[in-house]
Amino acid sequence: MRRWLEVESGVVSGEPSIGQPGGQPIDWWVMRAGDLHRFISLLKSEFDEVIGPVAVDGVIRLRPIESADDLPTGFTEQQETGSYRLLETGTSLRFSYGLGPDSLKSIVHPPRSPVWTMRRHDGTLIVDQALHGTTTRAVIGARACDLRALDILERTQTGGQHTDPAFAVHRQGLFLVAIDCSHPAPTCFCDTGGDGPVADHGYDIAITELDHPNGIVYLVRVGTDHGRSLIESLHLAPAPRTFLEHRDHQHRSISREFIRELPKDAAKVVRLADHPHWNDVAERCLTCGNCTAVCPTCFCTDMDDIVGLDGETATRTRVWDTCFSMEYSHLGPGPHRTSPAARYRQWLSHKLGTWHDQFGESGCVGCGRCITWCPVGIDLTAEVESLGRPVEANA
Amino acid sequence: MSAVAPSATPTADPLLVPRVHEVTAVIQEIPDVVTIRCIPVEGALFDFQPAQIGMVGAFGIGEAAISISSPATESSFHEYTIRRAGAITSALTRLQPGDQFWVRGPFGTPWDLDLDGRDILIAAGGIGLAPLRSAVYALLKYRERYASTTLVIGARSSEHLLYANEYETWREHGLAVFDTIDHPEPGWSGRVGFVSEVVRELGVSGPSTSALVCGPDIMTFLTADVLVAGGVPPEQVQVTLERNMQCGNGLCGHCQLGPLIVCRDGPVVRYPAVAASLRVKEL
Repeated sequence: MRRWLEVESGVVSGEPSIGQPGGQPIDWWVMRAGDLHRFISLLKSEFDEVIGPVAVDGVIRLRPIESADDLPTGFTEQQETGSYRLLETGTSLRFSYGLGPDSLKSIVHPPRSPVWTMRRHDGTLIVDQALHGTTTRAVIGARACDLRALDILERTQTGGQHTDPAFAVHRQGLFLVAIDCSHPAPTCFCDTGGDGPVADHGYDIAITELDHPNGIVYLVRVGTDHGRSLIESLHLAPAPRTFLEHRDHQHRSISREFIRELPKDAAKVVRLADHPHWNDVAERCLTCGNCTAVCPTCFCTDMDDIVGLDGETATRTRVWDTCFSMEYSHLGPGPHRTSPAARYRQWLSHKLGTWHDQFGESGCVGCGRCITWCPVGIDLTAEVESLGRPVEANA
Repeated sequence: MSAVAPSATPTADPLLVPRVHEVTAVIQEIPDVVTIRCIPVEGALFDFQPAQIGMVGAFGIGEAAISISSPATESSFHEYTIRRAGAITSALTRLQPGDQFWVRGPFGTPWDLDLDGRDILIAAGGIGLAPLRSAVYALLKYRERYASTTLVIGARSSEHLLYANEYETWREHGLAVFDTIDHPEPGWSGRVGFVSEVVRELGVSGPSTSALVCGPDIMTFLTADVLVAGGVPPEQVQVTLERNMQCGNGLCGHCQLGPLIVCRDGPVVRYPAVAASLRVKEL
């Protein structure tokens, strides 16, 4: 009983561990709840801001946290098409929840971002470009799909000829602590739509919450030198091999939980511009743009110019936009995409199809947020499947 | 990979930085269309190539993507030809000499005018002549490089023929100008019919033709189809595209046309890249 207590003191009785203290570098460490507190305190001292999962507003959000006490201990959730309910687990698990509506997008590509202030004085325009602060942020709780989404988003904003300076600054200050997914929601499909549930790159530190028969432990690995130096400063014990075997077992059981899948021909069928199924979706779609707001890769922005009451000062703010709005496609004579069918088609065919042409990959990671947060329960995997059926079968 | 090393702020991308300009003259062109002539308040005029675009901004209202219509070799001013449509262009077309506004740019792909020895056909519909005007001046400056140069310009009515007072000068410099209007009208003895029809009637297309086309989507693909049917290699048909460009840097997503991000991949593209997309309604 509670044999893992010995592990934390570094005395691994009879357990072969991965990496030896004093020998080769350690690849896997083990943390318990107290270490997690120490770890978050360390992050607090190291970074301007620490962001983590918090149960608030009836959902699990990514918010600034003060300590490990802010983590959503004992919470999980139930998700389905158009539905999200927070539940209590009666356990002390801290990360046993599926994705909430927030992704790293909100941090590196904020919903509102200052661009400039322009003043008019005696008919002369004076421009002050906004400066983007170099706040450093550690984010705890990114899932594998979030890390992949960050890569995809980064390619859209910094991968081309021009770089968005705000994104570059926010990204540069980001330190990522990934949490392996132990609880994919029924709306998730990252095994067919993305890289799968296990974070294998893109993090500084990654943590598996292990629901071990002897108690909850956290297995830790690092992805960068910065991550290693922080973890080494905590003097954690190396993880015993049995824990890693338990971790493998936990991951194997997760991979059986995926209900939804993204059809393999998605990139092809979403380009069928004349398919009658677009009209079918349009009868349900409210064109509200919830899917684009929660999508971790939807990057579209608009510029919002607001004039002060004096009439002589105008501030420009970059705000998230959505291809579901009429204004999005505005041309001289009016909106170019007026029908809901054309707007839904733009979103889905871009996300899964033309994203490949523009950025060399799919814009979807299989996180399923668009399915959960669609108020009418439109399920992109089902829509793709319908688009893949012969036209007669849809009639 | 993560690098928490907030060092120097990255240098601002020049295309994101507004440059304040002052209006030096306003030319009333056709109904609802004016040309604004301007110079930067500080520093020199930026260089551009024909068909490139400036994001032209009105204080407190916003920006519109407007092609630079003055000759690229003109070193004393830039011109933007603007049609009054929404709030932004309404504000821009109200500007008067001495007023200030701003420009970001230039951005987008230019016309490829490296067409020595070829027969050049320019086809423009309505205000579509604006992004072609600088190309006209570039072609005429080096007129001897090309076998022939022809312009077909179409408009709704004679009073909507853009830059009509310049056609005679262009003809004198070796450009065959054919203007056409959509419907017959009293006092008009010129051609009547769509640009695509006039291009077909003129028989100006063949394997040695290279075409520059700008107009509404439907005019663009109808004209391109006539050219291709007449033997012009599809790759030799360049078209400019108009979509809702906002950032000009390929970052904001608005100006997509199927696989293209128009401000990044265009506005000038080769016809095969858009032949299918232009036909899809509301794409």
